[in-house]
Amino acid sequence: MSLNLRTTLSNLLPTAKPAAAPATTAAPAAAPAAAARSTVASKSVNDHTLVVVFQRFAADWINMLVPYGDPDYAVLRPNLKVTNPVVLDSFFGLNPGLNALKPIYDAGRLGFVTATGWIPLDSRDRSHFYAQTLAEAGARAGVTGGWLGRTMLRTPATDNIWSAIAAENSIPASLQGYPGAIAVRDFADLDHGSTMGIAVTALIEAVAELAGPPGDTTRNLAQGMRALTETPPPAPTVTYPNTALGGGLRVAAQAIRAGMSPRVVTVNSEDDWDTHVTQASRHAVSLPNFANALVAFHNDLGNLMDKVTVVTMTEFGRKARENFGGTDHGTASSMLVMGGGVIGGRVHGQWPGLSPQALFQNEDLEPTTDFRAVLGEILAKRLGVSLADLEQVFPGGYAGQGNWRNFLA
Amino acid sequence: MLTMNRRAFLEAAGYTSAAGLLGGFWQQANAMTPAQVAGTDQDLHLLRRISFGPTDTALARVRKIGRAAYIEEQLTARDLPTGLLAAALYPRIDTAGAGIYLTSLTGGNPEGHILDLQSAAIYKALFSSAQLFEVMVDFWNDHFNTYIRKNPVPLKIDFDRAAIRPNAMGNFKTLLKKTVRSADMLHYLDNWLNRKGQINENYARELLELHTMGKGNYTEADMKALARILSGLGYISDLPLSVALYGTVQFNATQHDTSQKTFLGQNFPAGGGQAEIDRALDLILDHPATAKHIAGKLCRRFVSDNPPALLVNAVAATFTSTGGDIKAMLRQILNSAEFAASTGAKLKRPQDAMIGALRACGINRVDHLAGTDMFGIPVANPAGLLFTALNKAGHAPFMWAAPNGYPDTADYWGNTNSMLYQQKYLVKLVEGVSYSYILARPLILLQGGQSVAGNVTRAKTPREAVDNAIANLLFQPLPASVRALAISFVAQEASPDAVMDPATLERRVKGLVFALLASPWFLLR
Repeated sequence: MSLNLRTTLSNLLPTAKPAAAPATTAAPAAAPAAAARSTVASKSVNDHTLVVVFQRFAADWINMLVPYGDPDYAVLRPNLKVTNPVVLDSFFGLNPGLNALKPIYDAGRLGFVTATGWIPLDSRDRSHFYAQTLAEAGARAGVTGGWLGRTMLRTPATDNIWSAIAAENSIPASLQGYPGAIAVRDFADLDHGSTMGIAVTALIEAVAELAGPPGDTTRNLAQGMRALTETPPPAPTVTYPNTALGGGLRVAAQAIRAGMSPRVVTVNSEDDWDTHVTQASRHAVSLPNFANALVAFHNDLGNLMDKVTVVTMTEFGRKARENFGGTDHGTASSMLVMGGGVIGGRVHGQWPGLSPQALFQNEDLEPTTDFRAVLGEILAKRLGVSLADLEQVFPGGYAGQGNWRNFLA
Repeated sequence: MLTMNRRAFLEAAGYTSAAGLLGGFWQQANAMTPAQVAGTDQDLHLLRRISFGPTDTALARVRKIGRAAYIEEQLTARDLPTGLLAAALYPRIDTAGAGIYLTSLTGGNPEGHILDLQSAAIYKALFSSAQLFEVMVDFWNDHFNTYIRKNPVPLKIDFDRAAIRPNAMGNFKTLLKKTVRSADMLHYLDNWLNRKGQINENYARELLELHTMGKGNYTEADMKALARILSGLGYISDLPLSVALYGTVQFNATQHDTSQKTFLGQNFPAGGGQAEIDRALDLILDHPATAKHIAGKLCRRFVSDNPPALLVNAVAATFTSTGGDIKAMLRQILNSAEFAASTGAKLKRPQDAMIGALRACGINRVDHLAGTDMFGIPVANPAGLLFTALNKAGHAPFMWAAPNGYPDTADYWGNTNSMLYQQKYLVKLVEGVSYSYILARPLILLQGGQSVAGNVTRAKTPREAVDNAIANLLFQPLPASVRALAISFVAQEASPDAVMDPATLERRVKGLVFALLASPWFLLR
């Protein structure tokens, strides 16, 4: 509702230009920059999809990507430590609950960046809500909307109404600022179901049009329904876990397989990450669900994964030291990257250690890679965002080339 | 991909002169703001904000006694009959904590209790004449959100009944203290497992950030001190030995961290016990940040997503001067110039839109639904239309998992997914049996399965039908452009003023009603 991109009469009549075209506030620089891009770059831009998975409420990556080689790990986690990790290398192992990811890791199409978070101290925060807001904004101050919203405004303008899909209940904060984002939880549901069919869709769309900005969302929805009747998405070829993540990735895969060419898709992982208590038994459920959803997506897409990059993030990690059966809010976490061009089979980044001297404020894993450097590398190498535009998406230099971990070929 | 252009689309949909139709309205198409869509009727504006949707009865009342008097009436209203009926229809919401457990142990089922709690909430929102009270119950249930799927079910039922409802229109300080000493909150935010040497920060952090002072007004060290102050506060949960006492809040001194603490600049000497908790809560509640945080949330609910700072400060001053009187703050907000100026500034959440549609359609009296389970109410039915749709739109009662409660801003709800499930619900509502109520004035009782649009609209021509629908559903006139579009939809090739074959008229009016309820004219709050 707050996203207003008024279509004008030229959109209303002969050639309908749906929802997107960031013409108004989209920064005058955006269009020339897009035009100046090489043909090669924009071609690769247009057929690559970035899928961003947000693990809501702070996943404990210390017990997911287990630093079994760190002697302090067992000291800090006497009861919670993972005693039988699936060995990845001489230092890290996977929690057995994530074992399903191992074949993709071994095939070199999935990797991790360890100890990610905010490098600047003033942006580290242990409030879920504030930290999610910051992470999705991509900067503590000086930006409007979310980092994906700004990204969309800095890739070539498009009239594709599926260019930015939120495969979840709502448009996440990261996509705010881009007026063309559409939220879809299930393509099969995307029809109001009236016996009046297209006639009432047309009435709703026309009424919304007459309302002006307050009708934008209603109009987007009507256009989505209309487009779907022309391009019905294919059924999944695999079974996804019945979770928010599974459902979201199913929608993402359908969109990609249907040739809807989304540039970005956001997906929520609501896999019970906020494990202040009873973490072990909850991970026993959440980790397989998390891994199986990613594996299903990977297998569903097959060769199309070559043109897809999946990245996961969470608002912060959890405390290095366990409490009474769980872990409180901490600082650094880790990120998973998957896709055809990922240099997988490796843990990228730098492990800071869990010794008292190494911990942030004597209690948390210290971030050694700014999460924006991970996202920035993907935006530049896969979505064709220029280095100058990258600084607009993530101001402050943290996403710059010098900070990249080069996990993408 | 989107190959069909607008004109072709409209013409395929039956608008024979689409180009002329839209071409003539384009100026207005660019002109509307939310305030213009919402219109200038202040009585209607008030009802949109302090109820689950205007009805003709409520509108007549506020027109008769005036807004200020109506606000006073709503501030004190308690709908005893509806409350009693809800308790009779959903007996499990009236069972005390231990009683629920006993019922469960002897063959009852917790899922049934959840359903009763949800049904009763919807039922009261739909039928109660004490609408502002129910709005505030909804507001505080979000503010002090706990998650029914994380907690033992009886605790949540106790929480709604014993903490939220009795204090929803009372005093914030009393309400906050009640939530601190509720098993439901202590369980949900893990404080029952917060103990000396194994401190759990979950509750302390959210108590400060979400429930009282708001982010940025205390330090991480304050939060850690509060976590230690709260250590040892839990509830009796061991069953079946203590069934009779189940859910009783209990302070376990042996699990309390008795070391010295500094909280909000005050020294809490070593050796303290339960009294530390009350002292800390008083410090929090007397802090200006709490007054401002609560005032800000109330203004966001009733005025706009980004409420004017002057109003928030004024309401915070009232919080301080009255010691947290909720009625006084509401009275101030609802009578303020900022409130009057905020028409159309809010978007209905799915629950407001869906329940509001029922209310607008005249299904706002208990007897109308007696013996039916069309909507999952009043006979609880998890497969019922309303429950299913609320769930898919992401707004089922008591189903938000995180401690911040359902969002209350258009940033969150103004999206195609939430709107889609509202529309799917509206279609079934409008095209189903319940259509016999729509536009019914005077209201008549449902005759099993009969669809009687022709009768109840008492409209013979497209123009009459459109005007009747607009007046009865939206309670305000529509711009000429939208009205003309609506008339063209109903009339199609026929003359707007010619008597239309009743079956055709009914079919098109159904589509019209759906479109009006899906339009910004209905969805703005």
